[in-house]
Amino acid sequence: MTMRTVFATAVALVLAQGCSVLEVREISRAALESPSPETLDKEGYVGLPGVRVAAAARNDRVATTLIGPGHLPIFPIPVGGPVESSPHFWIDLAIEPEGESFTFDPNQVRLHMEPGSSLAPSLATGPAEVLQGLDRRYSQRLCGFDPTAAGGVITAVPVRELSCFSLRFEIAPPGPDARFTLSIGGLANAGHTVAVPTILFAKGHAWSLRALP
Amino acid sequence: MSPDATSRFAGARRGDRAELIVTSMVPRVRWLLSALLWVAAMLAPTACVTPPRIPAAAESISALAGEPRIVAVHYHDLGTRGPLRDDAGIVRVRSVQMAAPTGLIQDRFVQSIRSRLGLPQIRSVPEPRFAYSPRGLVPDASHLKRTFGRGLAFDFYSPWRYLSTGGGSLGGPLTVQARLVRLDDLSVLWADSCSFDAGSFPNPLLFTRIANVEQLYTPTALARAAGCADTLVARLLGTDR
Repeated sequence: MTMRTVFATAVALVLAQGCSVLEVREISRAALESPSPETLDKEGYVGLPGVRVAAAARNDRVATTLIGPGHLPIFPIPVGGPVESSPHFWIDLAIEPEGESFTFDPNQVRLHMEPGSSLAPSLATGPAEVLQGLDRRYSQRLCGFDPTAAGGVITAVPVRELSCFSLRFEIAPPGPDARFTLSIGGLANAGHTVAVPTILFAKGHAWSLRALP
Repeated sequence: MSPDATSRFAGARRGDRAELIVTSMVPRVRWLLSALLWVAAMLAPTACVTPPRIPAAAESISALAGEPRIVAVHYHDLGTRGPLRDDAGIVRVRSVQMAAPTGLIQDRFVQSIRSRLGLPQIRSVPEPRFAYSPRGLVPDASHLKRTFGRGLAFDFYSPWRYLSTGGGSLGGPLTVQARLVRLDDLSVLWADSCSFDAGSFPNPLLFTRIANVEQLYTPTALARAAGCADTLVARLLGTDR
């Protein structure tokens, strides 16, 4: 077997595996603002008595994309075009209650882009399905199928199962370098307010590896 | 040409031929792998949608009467609410995601077993639930436990199908999977399914919001869905044998 044959065989074997793409995204990662007894679990939920809550900011953007043969994405490819500018900033909230007595009023949520500033959502949709596992690999988005068909939530609604709400704020999505906080009011159990720790968003990264055929 | 050179030349030609063979095999191998993946993808849903069947033990049926907390729930059976056309008359979506009318089937099932078994305590939950199914087979019953805590739960699930905005048939019968789950330990006391042919659907309502999945069905198809609920009752009680 000549060197050329060995090389051709190696190339053929690599090509037969296809290519893979590694995508690195800049995100605003959620954490708890102040030291508190609660912690975020690996899925990003904070566990409270009788309920779990997670928040995700929809301002993630692709920072780097690498492509390569097999499982070796080593060649950078240009990130497509300028980041799509949106007039609105959306934040998704996932709530997983125990029991049937929880309610949530999205109008009680406040976004603080700077100390002293406070923004109320201009629109909220849901309750929607919470995206699970693989559906969350390529985006920070938490909310999936919405049976309310994007109808706005204007009052407190019962939350009897794992549900998601998308909150729209009347500002452009901040860059991932921005630090901001979210106060989640409006969550109650049998009429009693549930105190949710303030969520701090700060720059982070997420990556995903996918195979191309 | 010396014998040595001839031998090297022949060796080089053998190498080229091997390279040619390997190179020409690459598309075939990739095609074969693609074909195998395609066949696997076609067969996998068939295997996955085969609903599990667990007959109800006589003691499970008799225990229903003594159980104070029994709920019946169903999962979302309409994935596209519409309107399918915007104000300019442009069709924004090409198909409607829909399933068997699980709410209707749940109601008929509950009414039937309430009267046949004397179970006034069964609570039929009107709001549909999200079908979180981590393995894509049946909804994860742990979500029922989180909501209802204790007792027994009947649930009714029908996988979504796609209906063209032009109407027509779904290309096969609709299936409804039903279970009786003991929430304390999430054990499945009964699981069965029924199917019915919904026939041909009229055009979905393009300009209006679709209030519920029943709006998409013809009266004949809704009668068949009700028959599906009766089949489930008979299978739970063992009167179909």
